[in-house]
Amino acid sequence: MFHRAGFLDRRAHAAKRPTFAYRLKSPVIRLEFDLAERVAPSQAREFAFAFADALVAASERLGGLRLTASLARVAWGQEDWRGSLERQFAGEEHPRAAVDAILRDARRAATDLLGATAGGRLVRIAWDAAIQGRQEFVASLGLAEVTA
Amino acid sequence: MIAHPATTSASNRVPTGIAGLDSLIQGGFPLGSVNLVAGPAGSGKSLLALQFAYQGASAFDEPSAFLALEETRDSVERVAALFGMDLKRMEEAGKFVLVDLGAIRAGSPREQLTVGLRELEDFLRSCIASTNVRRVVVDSISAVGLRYRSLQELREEMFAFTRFLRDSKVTSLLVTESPEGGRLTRFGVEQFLADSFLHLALDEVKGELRRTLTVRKMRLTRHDTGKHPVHITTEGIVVAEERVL
Repeated sequence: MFHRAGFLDRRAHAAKRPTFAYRLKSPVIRLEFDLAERVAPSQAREFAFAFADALVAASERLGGLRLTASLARVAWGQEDWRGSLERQFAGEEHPRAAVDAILRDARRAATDLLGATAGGRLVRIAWDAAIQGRQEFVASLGLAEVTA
Repeated sequence: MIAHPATTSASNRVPTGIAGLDSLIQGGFPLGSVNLVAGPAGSGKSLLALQFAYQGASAFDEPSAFLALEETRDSVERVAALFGMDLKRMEEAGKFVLVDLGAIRAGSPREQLTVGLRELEDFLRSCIASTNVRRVVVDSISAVGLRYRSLQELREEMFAFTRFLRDSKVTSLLVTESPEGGRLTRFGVEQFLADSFLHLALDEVKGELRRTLTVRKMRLTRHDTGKHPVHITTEGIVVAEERVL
């Protein structure tokens, strides 16, 4: 097991029966545990897409397709927000960090385009829609509630 | 009354583009002014305001924002289409912003269903900065006034709001309702804070309702003070040249 985990080097050992000699790869063994990372990537991705989808729908009701396009561009760099979010998850080792970044960018863009109050409300609508049926997941992730 | 010389030149006027109106007000609203249109239900005030915004975008190359506080986007778009205004085309061209602020209030507690003036200012500050609009319409501020407990508080907030609009260098048109058979404006203070005041009325003549428009006030302008018939045609509001006797 330690050999499979990469801590030990294994070499064949001359004997009547096949045996192995083991040696530590390094005198220092560093172990890291990320206890906050209790989220499956697929769940995090699903939550982020539900949030963005609701945000886009609410912004369309508020200001039409032009506002939606501006919001996506300011928040995530381009109007094709799905592609942008996909890339964000692909390039991020920790799904929790990707979700955080997506929420943060959405808040910033909504505030820039609509002001703190209207922008906050828009994000809140998207948050409320995204957490429907996912309360346990959101709690386990320890995501801060988005407030208006 | 002698008009201020600086405001009579065409460059300092913002044409409404509404047939018959600009000739009554020296070519348009003063540049950067806060204007008010009031009238009872059915008098055509929202249509007049929509035309002002649309004409700015389509005929005068002035991007406009229309903030609907009581109607949905869909409803405003349908009204516009009836009068040949293609809002979607103007939006796509980046010349028109149609915002339904009520859309993000649905489901809010009762006391938060209406938009306050500070929220409106907060929104417009960002909207003007990000879209570079030159004309702003708020339809209507009657809904906004419901947020305030006293007339004094409303007046103070409205004073700050109109000051913000002037500082923003946009030419704005605020819509308010006239209660039936009483005051000219919903709260009785709006006309004192605006630079101009257009009043639309529905007069009963021989059992028929006739629309009229009177320019009751316009700062820095030598304006017509007569009452003029208003017709709603397939192309929108038309203000007749003759006066109602």
